Amino acid sequence: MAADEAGPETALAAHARVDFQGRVARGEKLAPAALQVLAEVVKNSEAGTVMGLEREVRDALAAIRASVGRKSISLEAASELFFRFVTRVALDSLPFEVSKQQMIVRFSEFAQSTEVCAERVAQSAERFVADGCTVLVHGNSSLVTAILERARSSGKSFRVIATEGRPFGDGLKMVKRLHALGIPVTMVVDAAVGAIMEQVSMVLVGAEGIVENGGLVNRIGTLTIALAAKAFNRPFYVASECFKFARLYPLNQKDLLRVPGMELGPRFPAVGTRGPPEENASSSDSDSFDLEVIPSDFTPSQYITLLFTDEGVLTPAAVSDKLIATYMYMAMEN
Amino acid sequence: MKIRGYDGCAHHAGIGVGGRVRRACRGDGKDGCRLTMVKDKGRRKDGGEDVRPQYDDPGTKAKQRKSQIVKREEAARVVPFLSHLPQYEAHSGAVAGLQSQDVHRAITKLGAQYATGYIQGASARTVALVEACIEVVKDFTLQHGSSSRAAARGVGDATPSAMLLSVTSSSPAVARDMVMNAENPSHELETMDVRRELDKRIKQCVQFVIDCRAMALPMGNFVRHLRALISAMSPDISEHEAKERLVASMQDYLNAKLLLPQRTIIQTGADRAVEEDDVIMVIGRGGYLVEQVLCTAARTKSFRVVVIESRPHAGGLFLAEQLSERDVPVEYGLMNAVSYLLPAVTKILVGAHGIMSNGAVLSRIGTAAIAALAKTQHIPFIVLSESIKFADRVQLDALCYNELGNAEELLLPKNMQNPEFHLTEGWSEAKDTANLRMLNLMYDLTPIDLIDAVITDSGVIPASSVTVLVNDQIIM
Repeated sequence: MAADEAGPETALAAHARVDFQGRVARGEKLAPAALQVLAEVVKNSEAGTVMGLEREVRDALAAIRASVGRKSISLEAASELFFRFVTRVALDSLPFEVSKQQMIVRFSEFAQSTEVCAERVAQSAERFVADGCTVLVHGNSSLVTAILERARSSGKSFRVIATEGRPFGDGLKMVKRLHALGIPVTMVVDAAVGAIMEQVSMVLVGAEGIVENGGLVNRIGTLTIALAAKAFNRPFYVASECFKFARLYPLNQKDLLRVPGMELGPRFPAVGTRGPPEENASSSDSDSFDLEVIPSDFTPSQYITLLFTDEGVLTPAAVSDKLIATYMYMAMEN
Repeated sequence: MKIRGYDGCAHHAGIGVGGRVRRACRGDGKDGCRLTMVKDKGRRKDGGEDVRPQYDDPGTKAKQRKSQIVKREEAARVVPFLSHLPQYEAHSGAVAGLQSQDVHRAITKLGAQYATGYIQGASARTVALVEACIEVVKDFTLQHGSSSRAAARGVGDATPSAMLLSVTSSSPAVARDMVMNAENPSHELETMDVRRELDKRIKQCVQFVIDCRAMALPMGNFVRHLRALISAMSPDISEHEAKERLVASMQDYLNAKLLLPQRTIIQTGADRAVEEDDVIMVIGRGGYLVEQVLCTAARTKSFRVVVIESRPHAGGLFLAEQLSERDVPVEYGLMNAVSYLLPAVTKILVGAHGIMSNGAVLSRIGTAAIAALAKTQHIPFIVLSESIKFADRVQLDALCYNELGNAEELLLPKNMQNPEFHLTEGWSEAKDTANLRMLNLMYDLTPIDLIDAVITDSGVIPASSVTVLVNDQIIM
């Protein structure tokens, strides 16, 4: 999408929003899409100073955030990383034009590395999928799909159990994707997690964000699965790109909901799919009781066996080490 | 840092886990325990001790006694399984602090303040030590004592004794310097003296301070840093310049490693650790950081505090009073009541004496018990600590390194004493209590899995990342 040249600040931000929405509609993930859009903003910016440029980028980011509507940890983590990587490149000593060029170069390196992420994750994680095993998946993660696809193409035969993922219906999307890859897959309702755990040989989930203490923020229901896996001594693996490592430190579920902007999901009518229509709750019923839709939960690091990332297989404790290396050393350099 | 030949320390396991009291490990391998800590070679040169002195070894003890400036009276009744720790009678340190004419008065004052407990808490003690050392260096003049006299007498005289010194006590590099000095004009030798004399002076001060009370972990870190600074100075530095530079870098150290981190931690803690409607448990006074975090947060947030007190120090009362003055609702209870008070608590904040590189926290005694209890109820346990308190050592239990407080602190205060008890001051001389040993351990060790977060100058980190920051400090 070619960007309009010139134009006042707000137009640039509006353009960024449209660009972003277009990318998301085409199926790009939030964080990488936002990064690409921000890079376009830097490229097309007419600002003459670093401050001006940074303001434009922040405006664009605000517009992107507003269009998402809810707080996305991966989006936040990636945009913070963007600011670190791209805008704070030894800006002080260089002329503006040179540093802007440097930003663009740096960014393209960064964007490339996010593109090859999935491949790298799959490469390091594939050996954990054993021949003949049963994998329980939750949510609709492209990294999980990439890992399973790679394991499949290397000749392993295994079975996948996918949860339904109500009320977001991720399970159905996941099942379709896996089915298209020729992987035998069964869908179970979320409440069946405990019942099927004894058949499962490993749990594999994606991530919305990985927080500083190595814990996982992911689609609601992940914690339940992690607890069941722990009780049955099944390994619980998480696939995530490193740009999802966020500088958040929730200690419990309440802290997660306290993350600014992180809100309860929309009021979702508790419509059943099997029962006769008159037994389904309708929106009028929700006046008589409270219905809470919590979009995500927090899984503490002690329930996580390993993380599969583009920088290799990590233990949960290594997340903080990576974050310290990224943010502290960069802060010292600047 | 490596652990060499670790095959499990039976003595420590016996004490720490099983509760059986056996003789403690001496750490020298003679008693079959092969747990020995080896530091990086680079660190050893700048004066860090390799292994902490073990007092149950007669040779080590004699050596330690010999180097003492303040001769303290040995405890009459040594707690047997802690005989590897120095145990003294209480009164000797405080009084002796004022007797030494040789030592700078800032240091004698500091020693007395340590020994009497006027200055408490690892960071407060370190701040005071840095300030006292600044005074010492400012007032330092090259005395024309033994070594400078030797220089005046001429090269030939100076060589044998100086050579001997350098060969026995210094690195080969220094020895080479000395040989060169011996061949060069004598002013080289004099400039050499500034560094050596400064180091000697600092060593003497540190020894005096140790005699009054065992050093806290960050104090050791500071002393190592200071001595590294001295040894890194150029040999031909002038006395004036050396002093000026040292004072400046000590002031920097004070700001960059102690005062600024404290401010950062207090801010982070007040912003992130304390939230609206929290119920926060504090153990005893909690230390400067906890106190300040709560006081700062009290300005903007409403929360409740539960202060848990344990004997013999009644610091919790002080905190409770301070907080209630700031309109914070406070509950005050004894350690015995902790299982009753805990369910309502949402967070536990503690200060630290030090954090080992395996993430274990050395802290006021009683902390580990509360941490263990908190774990069973999933209550977040948060440690506040400046990164200067991080140690590049590993400690597996609280007994291999600890400090023994004054045993008499355990006695009941005068107004509470029962006339039927004989346990009053001077109990240790009474014959009918010959089998009684009083144990006033100061610290315990909270293992890493009981700690949810560490708030430090570089933000909130899990205890497992302490080792990353420790390595980082070494590089810097």
